[in-house]
Amino acid sequence: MPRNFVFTILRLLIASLVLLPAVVFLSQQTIEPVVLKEQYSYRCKVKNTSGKKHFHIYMPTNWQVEEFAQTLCDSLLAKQSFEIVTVSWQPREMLSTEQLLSDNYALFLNRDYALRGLLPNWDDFYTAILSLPSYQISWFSHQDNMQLSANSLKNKRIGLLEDKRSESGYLAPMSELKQFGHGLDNAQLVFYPNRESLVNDFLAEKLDIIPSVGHHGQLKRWPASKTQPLQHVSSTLSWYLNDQYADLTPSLVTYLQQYQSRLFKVHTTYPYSLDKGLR
Amino acid sequence: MKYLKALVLFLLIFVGLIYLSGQNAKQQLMMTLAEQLPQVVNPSLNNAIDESQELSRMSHSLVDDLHDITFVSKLPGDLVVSLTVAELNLSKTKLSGSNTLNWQFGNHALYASIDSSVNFNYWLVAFWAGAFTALGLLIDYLFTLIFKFQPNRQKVSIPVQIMTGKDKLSTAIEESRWFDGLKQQGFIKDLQIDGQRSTHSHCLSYSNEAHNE
Repeated sequence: MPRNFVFTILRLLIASLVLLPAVVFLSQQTIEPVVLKEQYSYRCKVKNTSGKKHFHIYMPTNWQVEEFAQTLCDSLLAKQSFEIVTVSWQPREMLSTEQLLSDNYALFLNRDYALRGLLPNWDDFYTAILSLPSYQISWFSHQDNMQLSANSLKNKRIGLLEDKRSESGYLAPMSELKQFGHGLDNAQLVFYPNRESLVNDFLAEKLDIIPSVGHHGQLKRWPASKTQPLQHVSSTLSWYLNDQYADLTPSLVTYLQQYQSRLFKVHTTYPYSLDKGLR
Repeated sequence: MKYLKALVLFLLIFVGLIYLSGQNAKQQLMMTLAEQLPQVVNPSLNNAIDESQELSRMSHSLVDDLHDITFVSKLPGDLVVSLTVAELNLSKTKLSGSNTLNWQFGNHALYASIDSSVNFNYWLVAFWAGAFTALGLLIDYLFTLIFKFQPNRQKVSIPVQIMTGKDKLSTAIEESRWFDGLKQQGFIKDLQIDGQRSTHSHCLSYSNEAHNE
C-alpha cells in the first residue's frame, strides 16, 4: 500500500477525531421549556363586548361543546360584560375544591352529592337552574334472559368505567356487584377510560357484560331480552349557575333545555321529561 | 488543490452541522412531546363522546400551541433559530414513519406523527463551519510538518541485491525531497553544496539503471 495513501488516511482520521466531537458538541441544543396547554377546554370570544369577565363552564361531556360555547359567545352573552367563554370537560376526578373556588365556575353540570362533597355549602354560591331527568341504568349482555347473580357472573368479563365519580359507569354497577358477595373475582373486572372504548370492546365481544344508559348509538337497538335494569335509579344531574350571574337564568335555561333535548335525543332511548326534577 | 481541499472540508462540516443540529432539535422535540402529549391528550378523551373526532380537534389545537419552538445552544449563538411544527396528527390507528410516538390510553394505544421543519441560522453555521475548516487545515498542516521532520524514523529498506532500477530511482527521488525539505528549513546549511551534488548524482545513476532495465 503506498505510504502516502496511508499517511493521508491517518491525517484524515486524526483530523476527524478532533473535529467530530467539536461538531457534535456544537450541534447539541436544549429545547426551551414547552408547556402544552390542557386540551379539555374550548374557548371563544364574546361578540360586541366591552367587558373583561370570564364565563367558565364545566360539564362532564364534550358533546357539541364548540357549538355550545359559540352560541353563548355569539348570542346569549353578546353585549354583556363577558370577554371570553370557556367550556371544560376534564375528568370529574380532576375537579377539586380549590379548583372550584379558584376557577370560579359560572355554570356547571354535576350531581348534588358530588358538589356537596367538594363544597358542603355550595348553595351559598350556586343555584340549580335546571335538572336533567333521572334515567335508568341497565346491564347489557350477549346472553338472553340473563339473571345476574354470583353464579351467573362466574368467569364473565365485566366492563366498567375507570371514572370513580361516574354513577352509571362505576358507582351504581359496582355497588350492585358488591351485593352479589364474594363470588366475584377482581380479575373479571376490566376498567375503561371512556364509554366509547367500553362499548366498542363489548360490541367486539371482548366483554360479557357492561352497565350503560344506552349512550352509544349501537346499544339503542340492543334486544331488551339481553338487558337487565339495575335496581339503582340515577340521582339528579343539574346545571348550577353562580349566583353572581342570576340575571342570566331565563336565557340560559331556555338554551340549556334545547341543548339537553338534542343531547338526549342522540344518546338515549329512554323517554324523559325536562319539566321533572327542576329545582 | 489546497483550496479545493478547504472547500470540500468546509462543505462537509457545514452539512454535518446542519444535519446534526437538525436531528438533535427534532429529537429534543420528540422527547418533550413523548412526555407531555399523554398528559394533555388523555384527560381530554375521558369525557369525549367520539374519540376520533376529539383526536382530530386536538391535532389542530396542538399545532397552534406548538407552532414555533425555540432552542438554546451550549455555545454562544444558536445554530437552530426555531423549529416549526407544520403538522401533528393524533390517531387511534398505528402511524408509520420515524417521527411518530405512541402511548397507552386505557387498554389501547394512541399514536402521534409530527411533521416539523427546522429554521437554521445559516450565517452562524457558516461561521462555525469556517472555524472548524481552519482548525482542520491547521491540524492537517501540523501533521504534514511532523511527518516531514522525522529524521531518525525507521524505514524497512529493500535489500540492495533485490532492488530494481525503479525502486532505486524512487528511493533516490524521495531522499532528494527529504534533503530539499531539510535544506529549506536550514538544518543542513553546511552540507548544501555537497548534498545537492550527491543527491543529484544518485538520481542520475539510478535513472540510468531504470532505463537500462
